[in-house]
Amino acid sequence: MKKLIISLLLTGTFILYAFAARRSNTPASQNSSGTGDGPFVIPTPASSGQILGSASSTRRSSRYRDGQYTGTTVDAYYGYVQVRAVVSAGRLSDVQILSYPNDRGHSIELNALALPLLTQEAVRAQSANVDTVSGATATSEAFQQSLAAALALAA
Amino acid sequence: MVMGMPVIVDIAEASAGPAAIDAIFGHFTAIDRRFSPYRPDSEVSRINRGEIARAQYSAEMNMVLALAAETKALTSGYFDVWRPDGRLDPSGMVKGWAIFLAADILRVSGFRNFYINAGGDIEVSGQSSHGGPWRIGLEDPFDRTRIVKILELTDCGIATSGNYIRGDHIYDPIHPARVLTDIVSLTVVAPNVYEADRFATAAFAMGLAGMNFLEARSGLEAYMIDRRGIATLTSDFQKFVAHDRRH
Repeated sequence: MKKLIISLLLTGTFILYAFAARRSNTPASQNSSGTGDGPFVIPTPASSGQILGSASSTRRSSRYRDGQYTGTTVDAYYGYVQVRAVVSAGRLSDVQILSYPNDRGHSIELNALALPLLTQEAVRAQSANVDTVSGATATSEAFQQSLAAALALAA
Repeated sequence: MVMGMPVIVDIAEASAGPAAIDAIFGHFTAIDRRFSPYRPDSEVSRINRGEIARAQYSAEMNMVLALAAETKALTSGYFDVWRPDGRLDPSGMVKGWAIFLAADILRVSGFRNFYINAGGDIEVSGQSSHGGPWRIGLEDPFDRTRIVKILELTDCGIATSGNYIRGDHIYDPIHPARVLTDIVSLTVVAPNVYEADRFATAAFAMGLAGMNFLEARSGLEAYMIDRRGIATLTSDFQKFVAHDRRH
């Protein structure tokens, strides 16, 4: 009985919260170059872009066969992850997200978009002196598994 | 473990006992039974098998669907619990919502100083047992045993969306010299974990443009890490960063 009361209280509280939040929130403007109600569009910079590093990241010369390969649907703890690998000229050229917890199957963006107004920094290891950790490893691992399955078909 | 995820609760008060923890886990178990896509008898699974008519959805399901519809409108459709194939998958939203309600269970019970961490999404309240804000580490998306940022948080929520491509790099045949900056991790700090979770989910789906969305929206701060290990911060994120020497 106590649990029922608590759950009713909580539901009521949450309804009030959602209602208040709806009233007070100003929806995000269709900012910068967005047109109408489509997805956000940020113009790519006219120059060759500000987020260019040296091409020193190791790229393996892959021997994959060209084509599209769908990975397995992997349990990401609380949702499904499934990706499709696209191989062009023997290399992985795109990874399409077919299923992702609350994603609509958008392709990973391949173009660098400049964000000149926001601070950037290189990530650096910190001490482990924390109370708890926030991360997304569950989805990460599922993504890797699905991609690996897709690439296994392309090998 | 509940909902297929590890749940960690730390109540920094001497009076905390097993009753509070039992209530929390009872709550998560009930959420799991209704919303887990991995339980064949959950309401979500039964909906996806066409076994429940729309008029017979539970009150809780209708609440979640209403919240999802609002979030979809706020995010230009980047947040959507309905898959292209017609399947219902409310997972991203339910996690934050469930933690948010669990925190209320503790507050109703009189607790002020605690955190609840379910699968990396955290609701933070009051102070830690050390007498200051809770210290929250951001997991290194390239090495889950490491931390790349330390935040000091109180009375707010934090959620991280992410993926990571290890090994094979994506190669852009149009711009072969360009280093690609795909997002591997996006952390959002918000007034509570429900807000953090839904907007982290939506913003991640927007790609790099998600940071502009988060910057524009008041009450949200974010830390995005790309494939090169470069992080981008919204303009007020720095206020959450711990003032440790090594930073």
